[in-house]
Amino acid sequence: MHQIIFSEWEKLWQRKTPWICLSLIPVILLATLVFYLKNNAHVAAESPEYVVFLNFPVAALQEQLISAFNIAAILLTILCITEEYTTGQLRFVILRAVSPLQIIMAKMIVLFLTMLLFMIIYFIGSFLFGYILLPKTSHAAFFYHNQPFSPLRALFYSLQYYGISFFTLMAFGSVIVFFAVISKTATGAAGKGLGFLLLFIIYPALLQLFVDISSPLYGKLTFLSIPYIQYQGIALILSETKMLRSWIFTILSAYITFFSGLSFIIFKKQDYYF
Amino acid sequence: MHDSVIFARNVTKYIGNCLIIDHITLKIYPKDIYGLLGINGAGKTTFLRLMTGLIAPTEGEILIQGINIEKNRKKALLKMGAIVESPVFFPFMSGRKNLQNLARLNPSMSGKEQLEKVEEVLEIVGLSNRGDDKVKTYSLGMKQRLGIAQALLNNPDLIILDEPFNGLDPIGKKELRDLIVKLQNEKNITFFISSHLLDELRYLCNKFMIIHQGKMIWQGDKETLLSTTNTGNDLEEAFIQLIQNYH
Repeated sequence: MHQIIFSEWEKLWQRKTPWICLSLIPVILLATLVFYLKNNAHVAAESPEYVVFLNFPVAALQEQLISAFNIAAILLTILCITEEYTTGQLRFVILRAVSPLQIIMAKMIVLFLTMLLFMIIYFIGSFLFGYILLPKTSHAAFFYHNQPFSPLRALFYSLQYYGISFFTLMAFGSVIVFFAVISKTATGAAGKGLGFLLLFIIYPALLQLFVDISSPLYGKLTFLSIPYIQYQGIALILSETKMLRSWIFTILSAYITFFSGLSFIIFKKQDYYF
Repeated sequence: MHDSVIFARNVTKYIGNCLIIDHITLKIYPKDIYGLLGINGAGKTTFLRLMTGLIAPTEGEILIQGINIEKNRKKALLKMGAIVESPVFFPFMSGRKNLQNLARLNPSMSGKEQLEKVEEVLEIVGLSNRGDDKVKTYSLGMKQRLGIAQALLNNPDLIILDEPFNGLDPIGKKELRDLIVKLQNEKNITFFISSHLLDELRYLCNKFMIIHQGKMIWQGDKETLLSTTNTGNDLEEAFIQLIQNYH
């Protein structure tokens, strides 16, 4: 299995796209940093919105997880699965003594590892950029926490935040892999992926039409949306009250299990006409 | 039954409600160069997809060296190489890198053996000196040869080729023909080749199967085909006569 993973990794990183994504990380970080520097002028220094080098890694990820990371996941998944399928590049792999299940699992592992690598580089980059260009304070405020964090606690919190963010990306990636497997064209897969992302970004607003916003049910139902979990849920999980922690983890696990399972079954059972 | 390299029994394939392959039974023996003839749309590529496990039969079974490809796909493909439709490689990678990448998927070889095998097959197909060039710079003939090279990576007993002569110039066709004969003679490889270019297969194959509208309408050795149709030595005429007689 490790040879299949290695083969998939090699193929992905022989392309230009992952390198372009990687090279965009400093640009995204710099743009985010400039945004927060301007924003700092309008908020109190004690506010979690006031960004210093200690809370910049989390703030920078909050800003880009829904957009940049999710879009990178869509792009790489389509390259790895749909494009290889539709162009016939996958045929020589399918014709070898490996099972379709091993192929799709290897592709998913490589996609997740790539996203993890992006996150690690983003995390390190955000610390470096923040350290050089943002105020260096001994404490920093975080959302849903009354007391500011020491540097060590801020680091620990940031690591937890990135870990959960990666878990949300795995859930989102599993859905996109499913779209990539069922789509006959790269455009179709991209459309479904972006449609899913946009639909679940506006989903909480749509939900208000049907469910009372003040009811506990509304709180739970909003977190059926992966983008909303990325926007609010991670900070809630890490809050002092650890609000909706098990509910959100259950939802994310359900996405991963259901959509990965479905992708495995379809990829294994389908006829290959490419 | 198990002395055959391919044994397809009563193979039928429906796509939706459309019958594409209609109860075909076929045996191919070791060292045969077996030609699959048929006009465009006869079902040749679908039949080869079935033989390589890319699609599953609606009815019937396919045994590759005695192993059911539907039930034990990995084992059945272990000693088989194939090009189905055109050989599509990763254009942004070199020919050598493409082969090295595919060689990784051979579970029985160590890393060193994989690299040695890649060099060996590049030498066999005459692409050693162009191995480091990106595939996007290759001609169609070179891609076909690279396709044969990837099929040779796992020391196959059987190679399946789908319309390998399409688009090749006369020199490319001759080079490919010579390569197939060389591999059959030197490595005892059995070939199953589909084509509608009868001249190419005439000099290459010892046995033929003709399919039309998904049905097998004739199979046997070349001499019988030419003699029973009473067309002298003209394979094209024999083929046309069989198709017309079918109607």
